[in-house]
Amino acid sequence: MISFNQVSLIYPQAQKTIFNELTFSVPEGELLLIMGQTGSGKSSLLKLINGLVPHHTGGILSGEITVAGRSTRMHRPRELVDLIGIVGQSPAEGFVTDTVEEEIAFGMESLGIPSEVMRKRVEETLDLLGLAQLRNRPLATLSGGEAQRVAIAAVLTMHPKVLLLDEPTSALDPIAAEEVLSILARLVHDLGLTIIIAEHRLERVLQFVDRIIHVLGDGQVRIGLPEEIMAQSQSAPPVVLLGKDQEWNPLPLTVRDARRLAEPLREKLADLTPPIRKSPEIKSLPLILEIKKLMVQYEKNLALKGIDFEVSQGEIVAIMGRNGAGKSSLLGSTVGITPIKSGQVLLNGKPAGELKGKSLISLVGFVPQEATDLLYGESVLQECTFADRDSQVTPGTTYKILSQLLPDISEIAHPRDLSEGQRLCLVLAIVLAAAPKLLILDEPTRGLDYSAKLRLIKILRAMADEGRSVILATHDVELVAEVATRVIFLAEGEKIADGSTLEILTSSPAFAPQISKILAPGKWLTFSEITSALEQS
Amino acid sequence: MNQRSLHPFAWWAWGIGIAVTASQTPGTLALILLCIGAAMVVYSKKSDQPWAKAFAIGVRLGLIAFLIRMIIGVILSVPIPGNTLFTLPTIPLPDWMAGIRIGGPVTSERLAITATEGLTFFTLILAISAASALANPKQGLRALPGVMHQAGVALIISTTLIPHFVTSIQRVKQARRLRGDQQRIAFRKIAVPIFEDSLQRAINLGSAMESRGYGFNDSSTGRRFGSQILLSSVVAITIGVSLFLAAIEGAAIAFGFGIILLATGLFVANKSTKRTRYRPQIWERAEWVVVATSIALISLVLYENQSIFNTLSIFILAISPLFVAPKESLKIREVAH
Repeated sequence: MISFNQVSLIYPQAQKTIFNELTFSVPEGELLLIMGQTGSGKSSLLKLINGLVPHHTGGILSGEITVAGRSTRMHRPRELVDLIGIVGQSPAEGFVTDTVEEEIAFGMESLGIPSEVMRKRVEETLDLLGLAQLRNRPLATLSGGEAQRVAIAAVLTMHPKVLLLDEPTSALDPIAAEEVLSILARLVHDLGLTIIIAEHRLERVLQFVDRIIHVLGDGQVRIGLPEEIMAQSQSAPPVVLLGKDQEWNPLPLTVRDARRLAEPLREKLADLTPPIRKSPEIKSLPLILEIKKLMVQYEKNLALKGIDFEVSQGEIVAIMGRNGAGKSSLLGSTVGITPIKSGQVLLNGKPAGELKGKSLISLVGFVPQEATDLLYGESVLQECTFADRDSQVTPGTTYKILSQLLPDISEIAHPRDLSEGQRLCLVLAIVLAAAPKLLILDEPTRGLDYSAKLRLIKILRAMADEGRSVILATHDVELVAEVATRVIFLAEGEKIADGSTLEILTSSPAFAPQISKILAPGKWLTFSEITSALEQS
Repeated sequence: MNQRSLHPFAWWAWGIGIAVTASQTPGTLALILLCIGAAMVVYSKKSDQPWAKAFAIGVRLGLIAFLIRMIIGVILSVPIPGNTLFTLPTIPLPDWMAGIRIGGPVTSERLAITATEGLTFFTLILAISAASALANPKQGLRALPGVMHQAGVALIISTTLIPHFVTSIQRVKQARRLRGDQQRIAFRKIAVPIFEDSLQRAINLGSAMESRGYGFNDSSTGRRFGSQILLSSVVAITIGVSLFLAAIEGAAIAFGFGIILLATGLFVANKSTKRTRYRPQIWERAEWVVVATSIALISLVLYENQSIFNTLSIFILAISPLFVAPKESLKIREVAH
């Protein structure tokens, strides 16, 4: 279906070879995963297939890429729409019209498909992707998972043979991600579509894929069956790490495979107790954040319906819940950027809305979902200087923090040119310069690969050890299992659960981490817990 | 399902018909009847969509225009002899402005003429706002001929981008608070992230449109030729309209020439784009009737003398959409199933 022949790609400014003489082919009806570190060229590889690279982005390409016999050299992306559909990283940014139905028909209108055929295809696609209820909805009101499905529907109506998706589940909660992925699996099995996805969240997609392309970052790629690639890869989901550690053969990729092999391990662990999570004596420590009867309203709908909770020193609190459950509103109210309808938010005993400047940032550091909003300097060094001035610390403080987080960062680099993980570290350094007592992170792992995530976990743990507190809102169950001491669950603007990480995560099947699914009923959450328990015994 | 509304172009034909009639009718009674007719149609046929508010805005604008016209008419105008009501103090003007006077006697005749002129303005504004309140602007854009499709898409994109731009500004302002930055004037710090954000978004949208086949079938030479003809037709029609309003000979020739050019231009341009339309707007008997009454309305005021019979006919023609605008639900949905 797709064949790469001696393909090389260079971006002239970057002076770096992205790909060097790639040769491979993808047969029809395969579900292929592209994995690799951030900035290694996953998106470029996807865009090469439909010709957006280099037609739309520039860059020097040599070699030949053909899709169903058509060369991307000779055809612009718009001339390949009947063969290839692509859904970008943030599908909402690619919407052209304003309602679901019109968006789905947009591509067909350009192709000049007769009106009656369009009607039929729109109905079919609405049914296929379960969007019939949403057909008249304005696109601006869709949730993340819905937008993703509409974007897929919008390319499917052109009846492509190949579907390309860039990080389709990164921004989604586990349930919405499951929905999108099961639809993709159905498209492969029922329609024989060839699907290629680039994704960081391996634990979500691994069970669906036929083969993996591992982009190594030095211009080379490795292609093989998931077991082969996983056996050699440093970054792997917990189930694979556990399988490698226990030398299980064949290497399990899914919870089901691992559970079958884990019988002896479960018996061995039955006598051991998981290391006690460092959960500070909450009652005795001073409170850093108190939220009382908090209500937040946007126009007519209540985003938060009377939330109460407090955070004391040294806690790492994870806030979970579906997209639109009110997580971001809750976090925003703690730094006074979400207007409060009623109730109180007290930071160290003072109302959050009244704090400003230095007195605010020395209490609370906030990393928003779009971390780049905080950056306006022209180089890493300039950002650090600004941060020193704003937080009134001795010049050089921010840069010192940054070089601990990222030892090899170039100080003259432009913040926009950094990878997602590097940028997050830069923003963290800026926020941490004022030594806040409370750090708040909104979706910190979107777009982070495993190594960047490990670094983040280390930073958060170190903060908690110093007696500082952390609140993070995230969909990343594995991250929560690693760091959180407490989990709060929100639904429809209400707090529906609040308790220890172990208790909350193991009680819900959708939000349980892989290790706990494999070792249930044992109370284990992470791979590292198991290894340290086994070492001690 | 929602009720079918008339094709937006039919509503515009109706609105323009009323506007032209108003500009050609000196009769106060006819003008008042036109206003009442337009209001009746709007209130019985309007939807609850946001653009339906255009009529209320139009009424207010029209009133302001009327008042301004009255004030100017009283203070500053050419003297008209007649029954003097009151006299304003005169301000002397230089010789070269002979014929114009500030202040002076105000006659009832002068007031009557000013009021009729003001009423004409009011009716014109009312007619246009009535059409914009009734015609669905999105459907109107979509109903544009293929050659103008790009302009339509650009408009729709820009309307969806404005709210995004607002949230983007909010986010950046919040970010400054989060960095503890208390500098008052910080154009750079706000502008740089917003511009970068908008640019990134534009690039993403561009690549999304490209990879969804936008511009797949357009042959550029045919389109360029078509656009040139269309442009000339707009020029010709504008000349025609100006000649007509200034009551100079030759208006009909320029106008007719413009219409012929317009038709050719659309034909050529549509030939070169092979786009199709999802759920095209339907144009049926009701639309034809509205357009026909609109043409009848215009010809009536152009070629007939004033009479009470005539004024009544104007009113009845003006409210014609009340009788023909369809009541059935969207027909096209049934056709498709």
